[in-house]
Amino acid sequence: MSSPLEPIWDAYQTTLNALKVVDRCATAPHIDEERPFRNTRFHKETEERCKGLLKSAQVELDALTVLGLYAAFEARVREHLTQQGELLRTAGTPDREFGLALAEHFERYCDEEQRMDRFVELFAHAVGDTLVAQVGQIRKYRHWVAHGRRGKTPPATRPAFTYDTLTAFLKSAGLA
Amino acid sequence: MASTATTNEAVAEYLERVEELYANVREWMSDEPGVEFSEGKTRLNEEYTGPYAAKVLKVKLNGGKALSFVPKGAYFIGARGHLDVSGPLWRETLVWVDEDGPAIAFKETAEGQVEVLQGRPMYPGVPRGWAWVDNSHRRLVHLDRKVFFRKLLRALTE
Repeated sequence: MSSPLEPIWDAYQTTLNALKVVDRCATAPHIDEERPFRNTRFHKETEERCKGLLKSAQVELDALTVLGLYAAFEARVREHLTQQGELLRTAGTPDREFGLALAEHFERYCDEEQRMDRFVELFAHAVGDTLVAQVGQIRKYRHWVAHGRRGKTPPATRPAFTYDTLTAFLKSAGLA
Repeated sequence: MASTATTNEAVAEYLERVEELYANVREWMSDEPGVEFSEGKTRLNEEYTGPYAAKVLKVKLNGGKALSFVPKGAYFIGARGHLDVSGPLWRETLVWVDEDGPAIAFKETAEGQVEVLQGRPMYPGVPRGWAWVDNSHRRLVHLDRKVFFRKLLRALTE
């Protein structure tokens, strides 16, 4: 089963490397950056300005990658739960229509429920309490970043740790 | 496995580990020509700790380039503290991990303490101490003199 996190990790690596290439073009004295920088925001900028832009971009890239990884993880968990709704279709009391309605209700609940932590806790037996707690904290960090990094900093994460933690969860849960 | 500590203890331990790292960096770079060290402060304000100050180490390299070691906090999902190193080209992350880099999460107790939950090894083979987060290979590399010069310094400057 392929991991839904892989394309995001690949894109992160590619973008990180692209930023490094720009950095080298801007700072290495023997590279003529005129052509590679033409029609980009780096054109005719000072070395210091280019470096400032790249450093800010790296910080934002890290944060956005954590957001992207968590979103892909959440989608995979919701998809799995929604699929389990099929099991409810066979409920036959009081009649077959009840089973169909129950399955639809459950699928809607899986789509609309905002408290992702409630879903994640369902996997505690398979993945362990620590991974459940880690995923809860990645979710909290994601919210903190998404809402403008206001207030005290919650326990932090970086893309590599986020990828490894969410992958460990998905693998232990049989979802990757 | 779970253990509990006050946030003051966790911060004190973190700042001590930062000091140890700085002492190692100073020692590793002591033979390098033209290296100058200076120190500054950064303010941190973590959810579990409230505001506190931590020491920043600046290393001026021969030729004018500089490195800055900037503490980022005692609480990190998967480690017992982290710190950013900024170089002329780039920024890298260091984390402090227990042996094998076990999964680590935190939970605030009713008594105002923080429970540390420790799970399975996430980075088997990594010794206890500071490690460099190698993004290219998605692994942790224990920070010793060799890794500092051959990996971290190159990643920051080349």
